[in-house]
Amino acid sequence: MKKMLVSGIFPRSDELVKKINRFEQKRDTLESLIYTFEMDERFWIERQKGLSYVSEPALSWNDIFRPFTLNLENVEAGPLTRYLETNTFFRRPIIKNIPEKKGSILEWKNELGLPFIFDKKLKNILPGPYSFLKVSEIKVDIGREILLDKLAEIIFSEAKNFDIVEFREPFIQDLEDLKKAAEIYSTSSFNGYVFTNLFSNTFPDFPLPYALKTENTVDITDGIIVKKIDVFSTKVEDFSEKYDFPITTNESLEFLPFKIAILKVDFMKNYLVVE
Amino acid sequence: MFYKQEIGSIKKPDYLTRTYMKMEFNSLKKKALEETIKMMESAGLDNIGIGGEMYRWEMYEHPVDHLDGFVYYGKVRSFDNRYYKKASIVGPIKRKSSAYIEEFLDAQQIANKDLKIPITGPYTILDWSFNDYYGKRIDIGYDLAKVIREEIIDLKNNWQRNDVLRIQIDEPAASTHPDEIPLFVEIFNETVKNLNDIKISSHICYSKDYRTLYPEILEMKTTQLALEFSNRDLLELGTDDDSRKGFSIIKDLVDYGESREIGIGVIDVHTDFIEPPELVKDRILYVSKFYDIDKIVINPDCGLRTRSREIAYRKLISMVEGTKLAEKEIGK
Repeated sequence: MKKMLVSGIFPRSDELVKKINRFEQKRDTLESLIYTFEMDERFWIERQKGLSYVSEPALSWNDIFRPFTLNLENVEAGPLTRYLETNTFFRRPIIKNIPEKKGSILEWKNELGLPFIFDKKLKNILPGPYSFLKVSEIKVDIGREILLDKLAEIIFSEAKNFDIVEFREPFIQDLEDLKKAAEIYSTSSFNGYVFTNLFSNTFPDFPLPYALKTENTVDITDGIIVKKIDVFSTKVEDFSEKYDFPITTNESLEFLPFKIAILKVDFMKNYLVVE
Repeated sequence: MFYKQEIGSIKKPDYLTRTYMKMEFNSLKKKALEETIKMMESAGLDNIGIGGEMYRWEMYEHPVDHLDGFVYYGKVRSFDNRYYKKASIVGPIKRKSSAYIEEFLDAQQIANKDLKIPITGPYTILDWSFNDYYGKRIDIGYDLAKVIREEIIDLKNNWQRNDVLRIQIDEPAASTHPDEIPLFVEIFNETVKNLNDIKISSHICYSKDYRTLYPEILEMKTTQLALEFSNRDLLELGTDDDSRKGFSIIKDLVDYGESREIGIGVIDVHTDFIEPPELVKDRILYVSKFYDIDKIVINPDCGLRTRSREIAYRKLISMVEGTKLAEKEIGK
């Protein structure tokens, strides 16, 4: 049975974007904002039913590192930095000392007071420790290996809260990166299903299947996933060829306008039905 | 004297923002233009750009709204909860109407200081759009170069002043795809080919690394590069390499052979912190140590539209005061 799933962060509806703006301008209440936020969350979860895995849409995430840059001791959200070769920017993490956890990820909130929702039964995203460290500005005289181990420890310990985790590693861009990242994953104690979204779009044709398995984990992609759904084109796919590998989006669905994202998810579901 | 210029946009007054997409916008925009030009001139700038781009809602949407071949399906994230309308190219790109002429004519009437007309460049429009029509990106680039070139010629034909017409082509996307720098330069040069008697400058900001633009960018037919540096700089005073980390990269650009006018961003537009004049001075003095001082132009990193008008004004004043301090120290 073939698999289809969406990766990364999902787009916010226009209504949610407006609601957040109104809240930031103190023209709306947090209660009202949370209501719209939860409606959007429910919408995306319902809309994905029929895909091989339903993803938590991560609508409160302002970028793929943000829950951690906001909620770790000794880490701050730094200047806006271009995300790969896109016109979207993330806040570069600034590491000022050895990162330490402040409570559980399940209790963390974003800048506005919105929760970072995780659902044990859905596929949840987490930043991969290797990419996190790679893009961070380090303002402490501590070896990168120590920081990487610490970030991995924190992230993998949070991963234990969920059954299925997509570790996002978009800044693995060459074989050297991959080897280093693989070492971290191979020593992790995370126990469950992983989907390591390894390869950035600047490195799309990686020649090897690469499942980051450990004794305790199962890679739901068996190491290869085809990034066939293009989030950098608004033209909705219409292929019907059969693929031997699972299929996903080539980046976060949030790079598409909301209404086109819906059409692409619908296409993915229909593809599975026809098959 | 160092030439002090604005880069582009200033936050619109609330009364104008509230009329977005309404008919009233057209009747209020000239008032906002007058107020903004007055504000910029009183800050002491030599060049006030086009008065903060009061006639334009956004640097991408504005030109695209005046072109055929594009359709909007919605917005995508720029950062945090800031979204922009990203158009899809669904047909051949053609010019529908002028994007800049009305603002251009009005600004000429109002302004006492020099003008510089910012225009969104072809590569940036290409890169910030979805492509559902063209086969190759270079074909989009050439069609955009054609329509933007026509726009510039229109401006030239309506220039009513005696000084040289200054056009600033904004290309914030220039360094987004390092392997496309040659394409970027080719399209840029096609846009400005044989446009004599016009001073063409270019503004590139928030590059991952300006060095990736070299050496190809040396072939770009521009007289000035206005770049952003303060965003990456420290706030401590000093004119040594350690204090001026954000500006030290200019040394590498010199090593590549860069010798054109360089507009140095001495004001960070992403923070409300008002740079003290002494910090502005040190930033200028640092660059003056290794760049021809006659080729140094002073500007903020980028347009100040993300700051309140009051903060933007105070930042510009500080920039002007800091520049005067630097001039005094250099004896310029």
